[in-house]
Amino acid sequence: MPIQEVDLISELPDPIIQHIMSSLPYKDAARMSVLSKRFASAWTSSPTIIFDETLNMGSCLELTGKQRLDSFLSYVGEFLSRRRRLDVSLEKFSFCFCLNNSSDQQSNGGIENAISYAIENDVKELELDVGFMLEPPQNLALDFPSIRELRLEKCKGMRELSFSSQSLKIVVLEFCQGLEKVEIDAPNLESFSFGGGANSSCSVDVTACMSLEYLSLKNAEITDEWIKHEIHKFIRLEVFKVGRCRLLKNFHVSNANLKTLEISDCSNLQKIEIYSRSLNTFVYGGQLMPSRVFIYSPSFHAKVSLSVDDPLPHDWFSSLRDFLSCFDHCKELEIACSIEMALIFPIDSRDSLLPPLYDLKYLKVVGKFPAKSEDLVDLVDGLLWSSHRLTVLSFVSGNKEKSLKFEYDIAVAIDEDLQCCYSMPIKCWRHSLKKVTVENFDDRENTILQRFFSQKAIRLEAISRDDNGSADALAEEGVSQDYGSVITGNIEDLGDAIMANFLDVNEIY
Amino acid sequence: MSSSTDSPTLTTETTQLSPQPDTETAKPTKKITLKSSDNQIFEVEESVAMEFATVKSFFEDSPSTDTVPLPNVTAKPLSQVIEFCKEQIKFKANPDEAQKKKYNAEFVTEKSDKDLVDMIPVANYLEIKDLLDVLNQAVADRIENKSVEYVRSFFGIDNDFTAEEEAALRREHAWAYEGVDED
Repeated sequence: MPIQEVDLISELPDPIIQHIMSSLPYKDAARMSVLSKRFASAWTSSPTIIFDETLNMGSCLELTGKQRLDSFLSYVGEFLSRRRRLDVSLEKFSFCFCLNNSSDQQSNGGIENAISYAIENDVKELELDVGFMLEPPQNLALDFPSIRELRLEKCKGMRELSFSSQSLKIVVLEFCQGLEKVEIDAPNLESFSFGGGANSSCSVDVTACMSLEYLSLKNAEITDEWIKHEIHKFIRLEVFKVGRCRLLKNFHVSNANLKTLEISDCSNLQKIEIYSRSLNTFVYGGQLMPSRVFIYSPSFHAKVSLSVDDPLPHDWFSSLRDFLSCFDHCKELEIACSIEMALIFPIDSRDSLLPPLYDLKYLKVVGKFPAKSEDLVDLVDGLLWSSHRLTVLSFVSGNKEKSLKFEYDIAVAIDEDLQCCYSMPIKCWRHSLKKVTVENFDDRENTILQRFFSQKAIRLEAISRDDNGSADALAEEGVSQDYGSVITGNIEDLGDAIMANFLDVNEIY
Repeated sequence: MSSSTDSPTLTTETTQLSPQPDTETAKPTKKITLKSSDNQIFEVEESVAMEFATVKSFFEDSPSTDTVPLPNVTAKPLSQVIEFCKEQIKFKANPDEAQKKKYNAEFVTEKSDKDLVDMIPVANYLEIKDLLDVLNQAVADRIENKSVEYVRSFFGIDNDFTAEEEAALRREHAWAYEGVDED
């Protein structure tokens, strides 16, 4: 019994059927070509063509070397010869076959035929992941009148590559070995990504592409001077990413429109200066090298991911302090570190260093969550030392987020309160913390945190628990009314087993 | 395009008024009458009707008419299409991408396979691009990883290949038959 008794779909014009096909994964779309003659012709004339060896086209997966290529290319050849008889337009053409040894070279004709089919048919989006190899290496100058999108991956043997095009909007060049120079003259180009291999030393010239909105350069030979003097000319640039660019030392960028800036693994970087009033996201990844980061932007989120070796370098904490203090004024700081405990300033160094993040309100720590309870308390304690006016401290691990929310009564800090903070102009969190909300921690962690805050914060009025963001707090506990630890003492006796009872304790104050 | 001479004949036909709750607007807005192929009458606000490119151009050609005949469209899918467009108008006034996405997802999840397929020709005929995108994606999601037999039944397609032709096609597309779900 069919679901549909009347065939409404076959009456529809090709573009609708092709639209449904293109909403499916390519493999499913190919299977639909067997439904009926109507669908077979819609498939053959589809505006999207993908040839991908990993989909086992032409049953090539069991084969190797030349046999594999031949089998794949005979599928490609048959498909295209059927299509050549039709007068249909081509939007997207993608060709993926990895040629990894030179004996494959003889069959290049088939690949070239396929690619030239695409270009002759005014393809708009061309994606080549071929690993083709030009022998000997050549300098290519290409002129594409109609292509909007071009992706070249793992194509070897191009020494210098230059494009000129009015229509190009997106260009992606990834892992093209041997490339030394790329030059693009495309006034309408909006997005350019370049990723060189690990040892590549390829210079990139996109100065003529004045419409760029997205620019990503990885393993490229770009210089401080180029960034300083050229980036501000891209008046529409919104996203700028640089990665593993070894030449960069003093990164200085100014661009009024820039919204996202990402710097990762630029191993010689010493100084970062950003002038962008629109910036909303700054991302830094890598070693703790730049000691000076200046970001002139009214309001931005910072995401910092640090890698450090174990054991920690002897000057780690003083460099970390200097580095973090550059993010004091950001709206939210998200921090990840290859060794989480490297974020905890040792207690004996806290007297000689100033906390780096006086003004920070939102701190997010991303990474593995400490398994041992002592570590959790140490981490919270350490982070609160670094940034002691936090409103929210959260820990993100995978898709889980646990957080602590704080309220303070800043007016009351008194010098004689505690042993700590003598002669400090600003007192630490222990003096003024009034209320803590613990969200989404498990019962054991919750107990530990309650005990920790009850002991440490002398003006704490309430700790409440709030799971899954639900508004009603499960428990409110009045503690430390008179520096005392009467209730704290009770809490210490409570184990996991009687958590339920603990949660029933009503407000005392 | 049809001309205004079509309209006088309409008055003689029986009309069934579908209930049109007037939800938010206090001021009277111009109503437009749509008539389905099975002679059901739908009164919709002008702004909703203008979402249908076909209806819009009908009015541009013959502005004096107030009833638009839709000879290719039956009442049930039409009422669902109208329901969708009413919501889209609200999102036009108050853009909220997340809410819109949520509504669109709910709109298709609660529909039967048949309802979805029935709406596609209507959305195509009335040229409602947004709806067509939503429907095509929803249909694609429902036939992903399904066998050829299942998809034929889903759309009600008659197989017009001979056994040999079909076998040859399946051989050529052998790569596309790996990992298909059980029906």
